[in-house]
Amino acid sequence: MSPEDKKEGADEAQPDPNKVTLTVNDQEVVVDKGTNLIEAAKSIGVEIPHFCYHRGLSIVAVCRQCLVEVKGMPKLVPGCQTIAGDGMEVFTASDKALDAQRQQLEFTLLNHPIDCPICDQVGECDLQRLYFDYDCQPARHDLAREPQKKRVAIGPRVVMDEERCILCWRCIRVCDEVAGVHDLDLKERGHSTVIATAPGRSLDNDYSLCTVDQCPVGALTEKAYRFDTRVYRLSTVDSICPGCATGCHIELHTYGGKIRRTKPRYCEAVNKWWMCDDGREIFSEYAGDRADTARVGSKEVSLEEGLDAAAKELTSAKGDELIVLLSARLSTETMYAVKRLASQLEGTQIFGTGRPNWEGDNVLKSADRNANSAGLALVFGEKLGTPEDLEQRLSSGTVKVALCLDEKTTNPEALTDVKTVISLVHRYAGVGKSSQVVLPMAAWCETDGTFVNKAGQVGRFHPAVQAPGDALPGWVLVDRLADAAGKSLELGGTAREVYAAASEDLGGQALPTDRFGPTRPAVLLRFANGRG
Amino acid sequence: MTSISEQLAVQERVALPTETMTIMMGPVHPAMHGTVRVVVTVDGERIVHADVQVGYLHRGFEKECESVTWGQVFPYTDRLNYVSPILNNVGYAMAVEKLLGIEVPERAEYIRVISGELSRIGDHLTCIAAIAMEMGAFSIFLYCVRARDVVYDRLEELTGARVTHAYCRVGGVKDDTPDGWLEKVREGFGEIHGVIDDIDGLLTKNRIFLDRTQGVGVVTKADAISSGFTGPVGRASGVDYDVRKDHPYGVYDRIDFDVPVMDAGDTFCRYYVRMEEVRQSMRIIDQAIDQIAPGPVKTVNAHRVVLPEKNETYNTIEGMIRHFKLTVDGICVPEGEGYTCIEGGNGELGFYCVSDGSGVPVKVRCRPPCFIVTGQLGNMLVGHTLADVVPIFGSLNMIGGECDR
Repeated sequence: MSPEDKKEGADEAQPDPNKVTLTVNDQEVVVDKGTNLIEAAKSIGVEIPHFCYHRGLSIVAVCRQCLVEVKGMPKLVPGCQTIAGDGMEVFTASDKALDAQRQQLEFTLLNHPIDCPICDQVGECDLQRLYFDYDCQPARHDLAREPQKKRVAIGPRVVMDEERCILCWRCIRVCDEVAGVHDLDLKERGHSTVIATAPGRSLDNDYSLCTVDQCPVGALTEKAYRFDTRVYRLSTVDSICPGCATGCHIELHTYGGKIRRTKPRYCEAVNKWWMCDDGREIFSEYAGDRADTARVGSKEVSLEEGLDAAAKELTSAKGDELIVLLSARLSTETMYAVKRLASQLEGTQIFGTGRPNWEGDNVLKSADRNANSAGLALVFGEKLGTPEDLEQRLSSGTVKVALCLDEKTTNPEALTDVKTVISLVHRYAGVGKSSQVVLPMAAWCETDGTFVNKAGQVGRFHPAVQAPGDALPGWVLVDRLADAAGKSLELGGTAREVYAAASEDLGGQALPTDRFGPTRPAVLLRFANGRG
Repeated sequence: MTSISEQLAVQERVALPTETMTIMMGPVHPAMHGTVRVVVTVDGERIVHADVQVGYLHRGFEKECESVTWGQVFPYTDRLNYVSPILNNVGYAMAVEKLLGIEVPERAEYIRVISGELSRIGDHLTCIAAIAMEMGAFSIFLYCVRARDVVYDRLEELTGARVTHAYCRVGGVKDDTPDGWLEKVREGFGEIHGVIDDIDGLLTKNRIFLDRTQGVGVVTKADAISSGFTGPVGRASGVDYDVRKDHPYGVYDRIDFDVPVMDAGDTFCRYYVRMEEVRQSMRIIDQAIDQIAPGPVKTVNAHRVVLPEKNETYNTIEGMIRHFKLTVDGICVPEGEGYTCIEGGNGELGFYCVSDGSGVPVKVRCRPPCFIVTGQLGNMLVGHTLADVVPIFGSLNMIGGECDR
C-alpha cells in the first residue's frame, strides 16, 4: 500500500465536512457543499440542459428546463435550485427526466417565431442547441403563434424582439447584479409577458450589452452588430480590452479580415463573464482611416526610407537632446523595446503619457483609460517622466528631437519648438499630423503582445486582423529604427522572445514567463468552445 | 546510284548500333484519357520499360472531406469516378450509415440499386467506347455514347444533373423517383440492348479487333490476386469476386444475376466482361423495378440525420432548427471508424471513415479500384509494341478523378 493510498483511506474514514458525495446517473461525484445539481453533474461531464441558470447570476428556476429526477423526491426537481446533498441519487437521463426536458422544450418552442434565417443568434443559440440535443421531435401542432413586437429599441445599444424571448430573466439579473441597475423587469401576465423597461426609461446602463451576451436566444441583439455577419462564419481570437486599466479578457470575432464584434471572455480573476459597453466599440476606432505608409514631411515613402530618415534624425541629436514620449496604451513589448533603445542613448529622457482619466465605476471600468499604465511603470520604474515633467522639459528648449510612440502622446502644439518630431502612429492624426517623420504602427488587435492591468495581471492578446499597409508592431518598428541607426537591440524575432527578455530583465515576478501563454490561432466560432 | 535492294543487302551485313528511346505518352496525349503520363522506353517498337506516372488530377479529395460536414462530402464523391457518380455516392453513404447505425428504407435501397446499376452501364459503355475508338472504330464510340445518353437522360430525370448527381443522402436518397420514371428506365433498355448487340456483332468476332486485343496485356490470375485486382479487370483474369455477390449489400441478395468471369486476362477479356456486365446490370434493374414498392426514401424518425421536408422547415420552428443544425453543424456521427465497400464501376470501391463525434469527418479514405489496376499498367505494357499501350490502358478504364483523388 503506497502512502497515497493510505491518505485516501484516511479521507474516507473522516469525510471532509465541506464536501458532499452524491451519485449522478449512478456515477459517484464529490462536490463542495452548496453546489447545485447542474454544477455537480457538470463536474463529471454530464450536461443538464438549462436556459435561465447562469453561474454568475442568482438562481430563479423559471425556465424549468433543468428538471431532473432525484430518488425519493415525489416530483422532478430543477437542477439549478436543488443543492447537492449527501447520498443524493440524481438521474438526469431517466425516462421521466428526459420526457420533462422534451416537453419543456416543446412548450418553449410553442410561440417561437421561425426566425432562424434572419436571427443574429443562430449558431450560438441555446434554444437551437438544446432542442436539437434534447428533443429533436417534429412539431405536433399547427396553431398560430402569438404575435408580439419584433423590433423594440429597448436601449441605445440593444434591440429587443419580444417574440423570440423565452422569459429566462437572465437580462433582468444581469442588469440587477452586474450593472447594479434595475433597468429591466417583466410586464403583463401569461403569454403576454414581456421583458420591458419602466415607462420613459431605457436599457442604457454601461453593461447593457452583457444582456445580449447572456440572452440564450436572439431576443436581445446588439444594434451595432445586427445583421452584420452570421455567427457561424466568425472566427474568434483571444484578446485583452485596451479600453482601460482593468484589462478585461475579450474575444475578437472576425470575418473577411475585419473585426465584427467584441465579446467578453471568461476570466475569474479579472472580469468574469462581463465587460462594459465602451470596450466593445474600441475595435472600430482602428477599423478605418489608418496610417499605412511611412511619411517624411508630407511625402509618402517606403518604410525603409522612412526608417532611414528617422534614424538620421535620431543620430543627429545627442542623447540628452532627445526625448521619448511613450503612450501607456502600447504593449509591454513595445515599451521594453523603447527601454532597450534608450539604454543605448546617453541621457535620453522618457515620458509616459496616455489618455486622460475618465469617470470609472466600481464594477469594471477603471478611471485610468490606458490599458498598460502598470506595464509602463513596471518597465521604466522611477526613471519615467510624468506629463508635468514633459511640460517643464519642453519649455526649457533643450529638446531637438522627440520620438513619439502613439499619435495621442501629447498635444501637437506642445512640440512646436522641437526641431524634429518622429512619430510611430496608428493614424495620421494628433502628433502624426505635424511630425517630420511618421512611421505606421500596427494596433493592438493586429499584433501579438501583453498588457499589464492595474492589478499587475499580465494579459496576452493575439493578432485578430492584418495590419494595414506597411504598418508593423511597435517593438518591431523600434527594433528596425535602432538597426537603421546602427544600434542593435537584440530583442529576438517574436513578441514572445521580447516578453521573455523583458521578464528576465525586470525579474520574473512582475512579468512571469508563463503568463505569455500558448499562442492560440483564430478558431471558427462554430468549433470554439461548443457554442450554440 | 545503288538500288534499294543493294542498300538493304549492305544493311544486313552491318550490325547497326541500336539504342532505346524514351517516349512520353501523355499527360496530354489524345489517347491517354484521364490525364496520366506513361514514360515508355522502346527498343524499336518494343516496350522495354514503362513508368506510369499518376497524380495529375490530384484534388486532395480526402483532405477536402476533413473541412466539410459529412453531408457536404457527397459532391466530392461524385468527382471520384465521374463516369459512375451514383456508385460513389452509395459507397460513401453506406460508410456513414454504418457509423451512425441507421437503416435505409427499402425503397431507397432499390432506388440506389437501380440508379447505381444505370451508372455502371454508363461506366462500362464509356470504357468500351474508348477502347474501340482509340483503335480506330469510331462508330462504336458513337453507338456507345448514344446508349449512354439514354442512361444520362434517365439519371438527369431522377437527380436533376447529367453527370455530377450528388443524389444520395445519409439515410436514403434525395428524392423519390419521378412519376413513370421506372417504366421509362425499362423502355430505354431496348436502345441499350440494341447497341450492345450491334457492338457484339461488330467487334467480338472482328479479326482486326481480336488481333489487337487477344493475348495483349495479359494478367494471370495469380498476378491479379497478388496485386489486389477487383472488378471487371480482376474478373477478366479469372478472379471470381464481386462485392455484390460475395458481400451482398442493399437488396442485391434478393436479385438474381450472374457474374461474368473469364480466364485469359487479356484486353479482349476485359472488354467482353464489361459487355456482359452491361447485360447483367439491365437484368438487375429489371428485377429491382419489379420488386420496388412504395415507401419513404429517407430513414424515418432519424431526425438528427435526415433533413426535414421543406414544408416542415418553412412552417415550424422545430423543422427550421433541425434544418439549420444539420446544414451548419452537420450530422453528428458517433465516434468510431468503419469501412464499407461496394462494387464500383471498376471494382471494389471502399470508404474508410473516422469520426470523432463531430459534424465534420476526421478522415475519409477512399479505396479506389482503378488506382490499383493502374499500378500494374507498367508491367502489363512491357514486351508489347507502342501501339498496344492504347488498348491496354483503355481496357483498365483508369479514371483520373478516382485514381488520383
